[in-house]
Amino acid sequence: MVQAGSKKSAISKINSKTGISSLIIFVVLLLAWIAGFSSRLFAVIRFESIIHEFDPWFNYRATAYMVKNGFYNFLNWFDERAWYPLGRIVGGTVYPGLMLTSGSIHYILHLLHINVHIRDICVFLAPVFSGLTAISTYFLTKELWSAGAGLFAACFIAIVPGYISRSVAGSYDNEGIAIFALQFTYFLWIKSVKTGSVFWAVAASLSYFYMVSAWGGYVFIINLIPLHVFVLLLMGRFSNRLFTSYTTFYILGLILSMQIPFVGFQPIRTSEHMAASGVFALMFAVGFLKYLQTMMSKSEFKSLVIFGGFVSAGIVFSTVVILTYAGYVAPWSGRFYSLWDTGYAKIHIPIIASVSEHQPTTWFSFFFDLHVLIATFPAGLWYTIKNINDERVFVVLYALSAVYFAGVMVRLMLTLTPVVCILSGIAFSGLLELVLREDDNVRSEDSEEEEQSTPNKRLYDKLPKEAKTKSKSGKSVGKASAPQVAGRVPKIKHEPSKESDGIGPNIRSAVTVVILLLLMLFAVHCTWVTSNAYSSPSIVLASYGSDGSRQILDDFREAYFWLSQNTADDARVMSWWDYGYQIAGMANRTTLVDNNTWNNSHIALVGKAMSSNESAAYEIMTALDVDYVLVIFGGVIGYSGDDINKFLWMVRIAEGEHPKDIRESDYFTEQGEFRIDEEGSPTLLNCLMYKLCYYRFGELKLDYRTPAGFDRTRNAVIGNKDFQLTYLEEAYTTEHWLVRVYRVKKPDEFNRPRIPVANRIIKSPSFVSKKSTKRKKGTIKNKPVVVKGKRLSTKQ
Amino acid sequence: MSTPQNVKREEEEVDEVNSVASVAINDKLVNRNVARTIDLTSQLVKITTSITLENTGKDTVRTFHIVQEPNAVGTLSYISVKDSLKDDLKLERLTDENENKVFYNVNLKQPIGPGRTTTVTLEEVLTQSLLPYPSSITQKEKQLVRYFGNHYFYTPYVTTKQKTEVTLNSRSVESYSKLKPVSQSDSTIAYGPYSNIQPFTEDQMIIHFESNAPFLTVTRLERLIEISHWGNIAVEENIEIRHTGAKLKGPFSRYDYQRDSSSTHHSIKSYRTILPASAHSIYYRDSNGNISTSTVRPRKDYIELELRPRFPLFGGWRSSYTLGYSVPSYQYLFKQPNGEYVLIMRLIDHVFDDMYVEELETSIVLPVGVKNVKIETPYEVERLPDGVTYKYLDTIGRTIITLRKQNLVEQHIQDVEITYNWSTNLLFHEPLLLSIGLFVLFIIVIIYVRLDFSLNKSEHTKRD
Amino acid sequence: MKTLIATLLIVWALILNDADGQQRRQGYTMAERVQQLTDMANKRAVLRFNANKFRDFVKASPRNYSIVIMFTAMAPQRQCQVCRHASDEFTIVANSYRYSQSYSNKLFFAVVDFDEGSDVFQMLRLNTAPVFIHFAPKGKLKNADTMDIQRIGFAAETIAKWIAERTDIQIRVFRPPNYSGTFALVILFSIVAGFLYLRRNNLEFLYNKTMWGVGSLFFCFAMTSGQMWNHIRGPPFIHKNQNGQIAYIHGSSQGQFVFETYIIMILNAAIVLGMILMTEAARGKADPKKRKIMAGVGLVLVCVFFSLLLSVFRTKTQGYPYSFLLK
Repeated sequence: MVQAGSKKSAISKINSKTGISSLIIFVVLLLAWIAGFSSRLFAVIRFESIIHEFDPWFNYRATAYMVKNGFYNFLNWFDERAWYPLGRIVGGTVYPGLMLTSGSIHYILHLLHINVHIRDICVFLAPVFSGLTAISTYFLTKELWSAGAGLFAACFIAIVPGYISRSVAGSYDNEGIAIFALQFTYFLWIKSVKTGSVFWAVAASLSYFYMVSAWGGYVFIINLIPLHVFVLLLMGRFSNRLFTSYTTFYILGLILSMQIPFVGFQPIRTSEHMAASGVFALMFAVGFLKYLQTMMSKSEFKSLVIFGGFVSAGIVFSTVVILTYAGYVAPWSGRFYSLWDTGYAKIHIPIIASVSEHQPTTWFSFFFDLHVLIATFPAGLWYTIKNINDERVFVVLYALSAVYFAGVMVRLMLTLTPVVCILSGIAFSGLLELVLREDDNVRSEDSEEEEQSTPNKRLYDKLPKEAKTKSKSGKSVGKASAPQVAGRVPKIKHEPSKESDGIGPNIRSAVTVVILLLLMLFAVHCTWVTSNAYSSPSIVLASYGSDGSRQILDDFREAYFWLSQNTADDARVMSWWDYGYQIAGMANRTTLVDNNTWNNSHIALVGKAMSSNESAAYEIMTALDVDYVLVIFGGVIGYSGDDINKFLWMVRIAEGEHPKDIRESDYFTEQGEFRIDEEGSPTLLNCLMYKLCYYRFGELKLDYRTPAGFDRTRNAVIGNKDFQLTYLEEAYTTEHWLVRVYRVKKPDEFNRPRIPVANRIIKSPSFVSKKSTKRKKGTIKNKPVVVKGKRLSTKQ
Repeated sequence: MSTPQNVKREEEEVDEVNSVASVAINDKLVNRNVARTIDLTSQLVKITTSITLENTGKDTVRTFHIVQEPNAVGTLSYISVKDSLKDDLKLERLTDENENKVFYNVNLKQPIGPGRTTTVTLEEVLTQSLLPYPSSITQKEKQLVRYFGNHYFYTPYVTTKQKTEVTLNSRSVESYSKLKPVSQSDSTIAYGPYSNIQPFTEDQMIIHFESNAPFLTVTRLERLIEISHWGNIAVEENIEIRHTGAKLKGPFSRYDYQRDSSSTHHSIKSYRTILPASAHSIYYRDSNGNISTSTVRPRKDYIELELRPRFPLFGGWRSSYTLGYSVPSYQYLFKQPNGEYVLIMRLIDHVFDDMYVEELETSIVLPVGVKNVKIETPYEVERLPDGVTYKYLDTIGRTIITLRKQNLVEQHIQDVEITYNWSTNLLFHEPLLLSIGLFVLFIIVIIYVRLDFSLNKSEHTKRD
Repeated sequence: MKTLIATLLIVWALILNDADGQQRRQGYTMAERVQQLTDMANKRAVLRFNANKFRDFVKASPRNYSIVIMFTAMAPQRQCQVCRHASDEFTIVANSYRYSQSYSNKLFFAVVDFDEGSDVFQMLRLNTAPVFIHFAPKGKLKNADTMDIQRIGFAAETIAKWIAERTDIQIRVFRPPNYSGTFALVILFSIVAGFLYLRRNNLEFLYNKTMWGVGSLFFCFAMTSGQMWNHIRGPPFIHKNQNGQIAYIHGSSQGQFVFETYIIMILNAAIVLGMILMTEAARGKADPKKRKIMAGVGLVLVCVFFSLLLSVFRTKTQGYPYSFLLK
């Protein structure tokens, strides 16, 4: 950025007009960067510089591991502290781009002896990259339309909530850098399509490689670009430029993407990637047809192109189908399949269905995330289609596909946001350019073509051509940068005075004012949404008293720090998978399941333990040699996202694997309600999760109006009040009871709690459970052996 | 720079150990009167003994001996002797080979003439000599400790008259050894007076009583002092603490803890730390980020910091945190007329009242390019080999001086003095580097913009 | 056991195949009923019961088979859309049971239509449809014997799961593969192709950008107004609460009604139209008067409809501070 800026300022010495405009461009982009960066800092200012909710904690832990042990050890990292006793091969199951990025930043800073803690780099990575995203969006839009539209788009994407939602400071996740990679790849692709130079194609494939290493969403690129090429072919816009750029991009991109361990051979084995290769073949077919063109007449040739296109497409498609059935090509994976067959996940993959961000999108969240853009980008789309050319075909396809995916899944709003910014940038600048134009002459298609093509050269060519295209580029840039100037008052003032004919000064100024009002509304909306919806690090909770005083509930870190300080280093903590990454990251203890839900049966086993009664659960826990159990309980402070509210998912997932032992219907009352008070079903009132959450809660009176044992989250008095725990004991409970940690007793400790002799007999099953433990071992065969070997080898 | 591994001060109290075959005891000296007060109100044992020495011999006496009780040899943390004018007397540590006792040879400022008496005050601080008994209790039980001491003042001389007063911090005493005459009035036990005690007489004193004093041990304290000649000294302390009282047995029930916190005296909720009055930008964090529960109270001549660990500490529970602040350098860094700088800072600072630090490691990061560093420490410390670190854009490293000592108490809060030479224009070293770098960058950009590196000019004609 | 019953039945059939006329008067023995049910089940997977059939086969005891009955109202004048879906799913389950290897005469599927067996409805005091009830071989009707479609819905899989819970008969639901979508696609493609082939000598209309533009704009409006959500979640068209007044806008930000989405679609379209009008007015070279009008109209469209959109948004968001023109 600095370089670009200084480059501009250097130019400005040579040529005042271009100098001014490029200075404006530089300033606007810089301001966009700063605005984007600072509007992402709400969480840091309100709380502190801390990693946010769940997945970022894993990314942070992995990054710290890489910084500590080096890249190759990271690639070979077998994490025996996760998925006990299975362990997890981390190096082969992550997209390393994120860790590499922040790791290399850390490395460079330390070369300069600027000792920044890796945590701070991770926290601030996403905001910094949002600035880069804005810049690449500017370049992309400039290639597509004009510099003015580019500036609009850059400003939009810098502050639009749909992108901020994934890139606030502290949300250290793949999407934060992936959107930059996405935009930059598209820019380079457009560039290479326009110039047809191998250089840009190679650059595009390199950027694509970065994208592959950063995010699973690269599949979007590798399907969209072939689609672009395909449609161009259908439109008979085949050209050698297209041929060069696509073939180069495809081959390099294929080979490079296969270098990522996690991706491996997927690019040639799975259906998600088949379209690209199909179009690759089609490309050559069309090239051949072009050769035939030389010996054919025009009219029959056109139909031949389309015909040949269809035929070869059919051939490729059928071959793909055949290969799929032959098993050489894997069919669509669940997540992708659920994009097409929208009801698929709900029935077949409860874990995918249980994640809230895999739900479809209401119009509300569209407007919530994009505000005025959602209502204006179709106008941009309209004008893009109206004067179409090679690269604008791309943005049209981009818009249509992204808007479909965003409709299917909330989280894919992220891929929609950039194109919406681009298109509404085009719409707004298109309008303002005309409204604020000094001379009211009419611009025909071709003149516009050349005008918006000249600035590109001005940016990328060197001085001599600079001199050549000075006049034209000067004019066009003067226009292009007009919208930005429009923001400043004097321009608006003297515009109407000069107006002679046309739609008249009043309407012009009215339009300008309205547009500016809309944009201001957009800005305040973005700030409001960011500060209210997207800026809470769900680690630290803040509750506001009636007098507006803020009270910080820091129970999560309290419990995790207690675990890290006062438990054995190799203690195994059982919790629901949501908290796996946090326990690993903050408490640094071994977990059974965590947020990368790769092993459904293991999760189901934990769910079964949570949802069966204490003695049955004890068998499972001894089989998995669990030392501590951690549950989240919001009943005291009325925290809604606690384990009792998630409990039904545990039951469902457990039932999916163990239909004999767990029945969802047992946890509902006769009326089919899920209640925790006396009417609640006895199975629920005696299951482990219920007992661990409500242990000794029945004696607690929160305030004088409510009776003892009143659950503020469920607004009910708990049904099962006084009970003792036989196989576990309370190890720690945080200040607001939000996190409760229990210790699983060893078999010789059972006579510790004062229980009558009658119950003592009941303990015989727990000793019989030796046998049943062996039977359990059948279900989790040869796990303990492997991991014991592992741990020993690591210990000595 | 080559400085000896053990550095000393002139008016240093404890000399290094020199072992003698057998210590010559001057039997003409008599303890005319010995009054001991044993303070057991905290986790430390503070023994203050005022001794009236009489010289029954013919010739004047310049030195006398103090001998350490055999069971207190390992646990003695601090010892000092003052004479009647309240100024410190020089101690010299001797170990006796054949009856392996530890003696201290005290040099009197005013010698005792024949038949004259003088009064000296001996102050000792013992650590780890209050043992919780029973060693593990449940959340509701009270914490009881036992003290093993000596009824008699352990001395190489004949003691004519001696009495001892033991101060406890609660009146509930389980049992105490009864050597007549003895009396207990509410929280103090008075032994004696006893008369005509032979040298080296021992008789075990056992006191078993309830103590709810915070038994908090700093297992490791890493103190990092960074000097910046821009006018700031940054101090950071990494502290690991452990509750060394009776271990918690059985479950921890938050319900009981919240219902009556009075029942759990022995748990530690919070404690006070004293920072210098000029400390600013204080932070209190741990490996998981800020610890939001702490309050800063500026007092008249110091800053009181109320620290609450993330969780209440019960017996055997550990915690660790980082406390950092910065102070203006003009209060601690002085320029001598001969052009060398002197840094005078505390080797260890206050963590909490009656603190006990098992291991201290203080490292001082000196500015870039310092020469001939000299260190003067108030008492004997082990100096580890110097390290080198690099801070913002350093090209030359900064020297780190690391000092280590075990078993410290509040009395060790004393100043260390570091003297070094340093030239002022090193201050502009890094700003210069930065500006040069930027300048070069701009030059490169300008050149890049002005010249044309493109290979083929055909590009712009190709577009439509 | 089974074979024994079978032989018995054959004997029965041989002896009095003609005399079941007066046999029906005083119901059948169990074996006979099983036989009849089996025969009927062989004809069609889902048996249609009327009142007295219900009495004969369900009310009568002893039984060694369990029956799953869907009480429904399929008659068109009842206009019960849900019943139609429910019966489809139910038939799927029944068929997949009928053709599965676990098929036995331990479990039968039947349907009672309100218009045929209304007294059965009264007998069981049912006043809603559809209801799925499982009649166990013995024992009284338990609450859990009635499937809770409010909670778990009536997808074929859930029905099968519920049946597996009640009677330990596992049914692998086998949906008849639905080729209609693919067929439609193929037909569409062929039509398009044929059309292109016919119009091959002037394909100019393919280059009509307005057509493509309108099409893609409509697609965008459909998606951004949450039609996909409607398609997946199937919300009601509008909400009519008990005391009669109609809510067009869903109260919470989580949900939406179909009608609501149409409103949003129109609002978005109007705003876009306004933008385009303004731009055209500023660009076009028609007489200034016409362009003034165009620009004015566009301006009004944008202002009014965007403020409308914003106010609708406000009603769904708690504590959203901003508004434009109208509250």
